[in-house]
Amino acid sequence: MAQLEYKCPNCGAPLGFEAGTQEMTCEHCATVMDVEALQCMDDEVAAHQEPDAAQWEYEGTNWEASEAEGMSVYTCNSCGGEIVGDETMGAATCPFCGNPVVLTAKFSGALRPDMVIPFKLDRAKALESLENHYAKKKLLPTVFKDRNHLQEVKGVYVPFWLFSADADGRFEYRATRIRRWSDARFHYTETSFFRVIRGGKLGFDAVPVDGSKSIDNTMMESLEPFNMNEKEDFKPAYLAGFCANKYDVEAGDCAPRANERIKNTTTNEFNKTVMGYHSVTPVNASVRVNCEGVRYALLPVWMLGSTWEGKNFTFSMNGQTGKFVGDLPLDKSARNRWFLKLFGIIAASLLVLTQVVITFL
Amino acid sequence: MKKAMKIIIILTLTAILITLALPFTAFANDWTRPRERFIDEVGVLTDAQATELSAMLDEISIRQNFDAVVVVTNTMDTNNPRRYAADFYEQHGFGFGQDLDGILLMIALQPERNFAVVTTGYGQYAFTSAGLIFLEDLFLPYLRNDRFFEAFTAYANAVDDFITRARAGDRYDTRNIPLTPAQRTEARIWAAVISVGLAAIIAGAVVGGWTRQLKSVKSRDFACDYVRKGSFALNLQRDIFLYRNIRRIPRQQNNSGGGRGGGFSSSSGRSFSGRSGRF
Repeated sequence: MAQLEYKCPNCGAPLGFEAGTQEMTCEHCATVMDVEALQCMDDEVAAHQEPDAAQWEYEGTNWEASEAEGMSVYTCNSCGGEIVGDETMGAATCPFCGNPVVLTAKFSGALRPDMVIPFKLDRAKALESLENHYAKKKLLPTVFKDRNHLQEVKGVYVPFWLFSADADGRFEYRATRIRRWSDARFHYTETSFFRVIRGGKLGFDAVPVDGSKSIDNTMMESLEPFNMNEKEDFKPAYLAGFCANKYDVEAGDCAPRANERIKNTTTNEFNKTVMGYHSVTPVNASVRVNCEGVRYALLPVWMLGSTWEGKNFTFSMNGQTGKFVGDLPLDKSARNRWFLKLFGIIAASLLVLTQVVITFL
Repeated sequence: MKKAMKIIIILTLTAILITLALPFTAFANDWTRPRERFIDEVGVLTDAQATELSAMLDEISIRQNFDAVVVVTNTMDTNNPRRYAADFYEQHGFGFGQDLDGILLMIALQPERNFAVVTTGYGQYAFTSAGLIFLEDLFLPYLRNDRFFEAFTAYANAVDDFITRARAGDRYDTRNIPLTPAQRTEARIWAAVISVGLAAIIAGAVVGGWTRQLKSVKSRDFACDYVRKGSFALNLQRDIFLYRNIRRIPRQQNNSGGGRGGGFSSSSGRSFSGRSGRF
């Protein structure tokens, strides 16, 4: 017959039942546990959920022949990016890498976007934001600010997969509460240990993940958030004057990133509900993502390309909110100069101050 | 005739008694009497230095009504150097007034280079525990380097300063002990090192902040902006108490106290304060 054994939550040694006190006692570390609490903890562990196995599937709709007519596909021979534009766009440079693109074919295939967020901000605003982006950056090379380096400013509809889901989460934490007091002879510290369990649901609408290989995913995440309340049903007319990138990463391939962000957010929200403890250590987290749907959307982004000292620098602006991002080069000599200057001033000030203070001690 | 002889004998005895009694009353109060306040049984100072130090100790003692004494011996009782020094102080008749106000520094080069500072009378008020440690810090560095003259003059000057401060109602105690020259030098070096380190950290933080301004492309690991409003449902909320530990630490007894230094009694029972150690 199998013998039931409980382990001490403090040290892992076997717990024994003390008949006198009617409590579970650890002979190794002298921890005393209430039988009810132990049973309760055991039940909760037994109720542990299976991890998620979200399946994201997207069927989508195809372009109608009339919509595809008049649209062309341009391919960048350098980065391989495919850009969709109307036939009047002509030869242009790739908004992602700055190299020339060539007309390769009449538009065909690929799924039709479900929705679009139209451009709200124009080219002038993008250039103004670029100027602001340069401002108040002490370590930006002065010569970089020269406008002549700017090569391309393009409004691009970037393909995004929008994931909607319900997240079911269950979390366990080890928590402590500390009480201190003193009497005439001793200082006392009482540490109470708790097992904290939280569970519930959190819903997400339209978590965007960039569906284009040509565009840096991190840069697109930096442009967030997009206000999805302003989305419109897709109409080819929105593409007039702009170019669009075709998605080349399937929804299923983008799903892991969406899952990761959903899980992180769910975990974070439930962590906030554990309050009133001096320390909280997560011991187990399980989030099951229940997919509610995937939608294909084109979101507005201004892409600005620039070169400096043979390197390409790409900036982008959220065409809806105006959020502007893009890494800038570092002037190393200016950095060193500023460091020495600040170091000298601060060190001299502190030296004088401390020596004067010591004189009067 | 017999009556006249009796009167003569009584007057003679009275005169003898008065003559015998006079030195004892003068002994306790006559602070101008010639007395060696620097006793050197070893010869650690040159004659000129000894003369200069003696004059210095005399001048301070008479001006302050407070004996400042320095004794250099070959050996001393290492088991109880403070009592040895206190007994020496009493047996050699040092001290002003009824309370024998004064202080004595005794050093012995054998067997373990010991020293003792003892004080009684007004000295017990003027030299607090913290004050005695401060006094020690002023002359010990010189003694350790066998710079005896500098050590003794530093001691004499310090005694003068201590008594002056005490009479002005501002005796040296834990709240107002100044740094010794050695401590001041050490503090200056540490302050310089910390200032340079702190300056490097602050300058690095500022320049680091400016460098980070150039980087704006960052991944977003959360999707807080896309949480459906009102969708958060906390269905399970359990806080299970497991066990508790109680740790107890004995309270430290506060033995430090201002006021008089470490008190003890001489062999005669007179109360003294003082410190002793090796150098």
